[in-house]
Amino acid sequence: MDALIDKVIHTDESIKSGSIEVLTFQIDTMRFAVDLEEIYELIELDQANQRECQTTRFEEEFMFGNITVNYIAPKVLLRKSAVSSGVLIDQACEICQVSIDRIRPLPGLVKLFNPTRIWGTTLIDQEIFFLIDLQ
Amino acid sequence: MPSKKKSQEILEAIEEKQSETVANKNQTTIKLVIFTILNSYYAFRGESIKEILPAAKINRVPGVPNFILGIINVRGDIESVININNFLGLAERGTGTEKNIIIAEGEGVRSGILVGSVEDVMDFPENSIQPPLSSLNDKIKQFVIGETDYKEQSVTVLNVREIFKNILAN
Repeated sequence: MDALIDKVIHTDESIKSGSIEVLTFQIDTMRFAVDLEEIYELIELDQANQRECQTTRFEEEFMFGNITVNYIAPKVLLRKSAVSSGVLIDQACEICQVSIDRIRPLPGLVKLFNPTRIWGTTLIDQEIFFLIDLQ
Repeated sequence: MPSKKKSQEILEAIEEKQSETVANKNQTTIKLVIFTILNSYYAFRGESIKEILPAAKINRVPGVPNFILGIINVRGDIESVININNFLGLAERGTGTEKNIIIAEGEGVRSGILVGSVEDVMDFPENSIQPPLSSLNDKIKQFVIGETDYKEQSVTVLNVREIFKNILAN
C-alpha cells in the first residue's frame, strides 16, 4: 500500500514537472523504458541468485508469445513494490528524462489486444521505446 | 440537297462532345487507391485512406497477434501496421520488398497496412466495378467489393472497413 501511495505521489509530481526519468533497455530487437520510481535496484544475475530473488524472464512476464530471447548482457531489475522479486532484462542502456509531451498511447488496434503492461510509447533519439509497468 | 456547312458540322460535333461530358459528369465515380501485393493489383476506396507513406522501420510489439506487424513513428505520432495477406488467403509473409504503408480508417479503427507499392490513385466509374469472382472463397469474399481493370489487369477492390470489422469481432 505504501508503495502504491509513493507511486501516486510520484506520478502527480511527474505530471507537474512535465517529465519522468526512465531506465532504457533492449530485449531482442525491442526497446523498453521503465520509470525509475518503479525500480528498487538493478543487479547482476549472480547477485540476484545469491540473494535468492524470485526472477522471471522478461519475455515470460510480458507474454511475448513464442519468441525465444537470447540474452546478451542480462541484469535483474528488482521492483520497488516487492524487492525480492525481479525481472531479467537485457542490454540496460541509459537513464534518461522523458518529457510527458513526448509520450504517446499505444495505437487503438494494438491496445485492443492488451499487450501486457505496456502503457505507452515514447521516442528517444527517433527510436520507439515501449513504456512498461513493472508492478 | 446541299451538304451541311462545315461550320455547322463543327458546332454539332462540339455540342455532341459537350453532352457526352455532361453525361460523364452525371456518372458516379469512385476514387480507388491501387496497390500491389505479391505482384497482383488490389485497391481500397479512397475515402477510407488517410495517408500513403513510404515503408518505414516497423517496431515489433510483444504479445499481439501475428497480423499486427508492429508500430511506426509518423512525424512523432505512433501508428500500428498490419499485414493483410492472411485476410486475403495469401502467404503470411511478404517478399520483404514492400515499399508503402497505407494509413486507413474505418469502423473506429485506424491503422497502417503494409503493401507492395501504391501504383495509382484514380477515379473509376462506379459501374466499372464488377461483382467479385464467384470462384473466390467465402473467407476472402467478405473483404472484396468487386473487381475492375487497371493496365489491362484485374484489380480486386477491397473493403478496408470489413477487414477492420473482422479484426474487432475476433
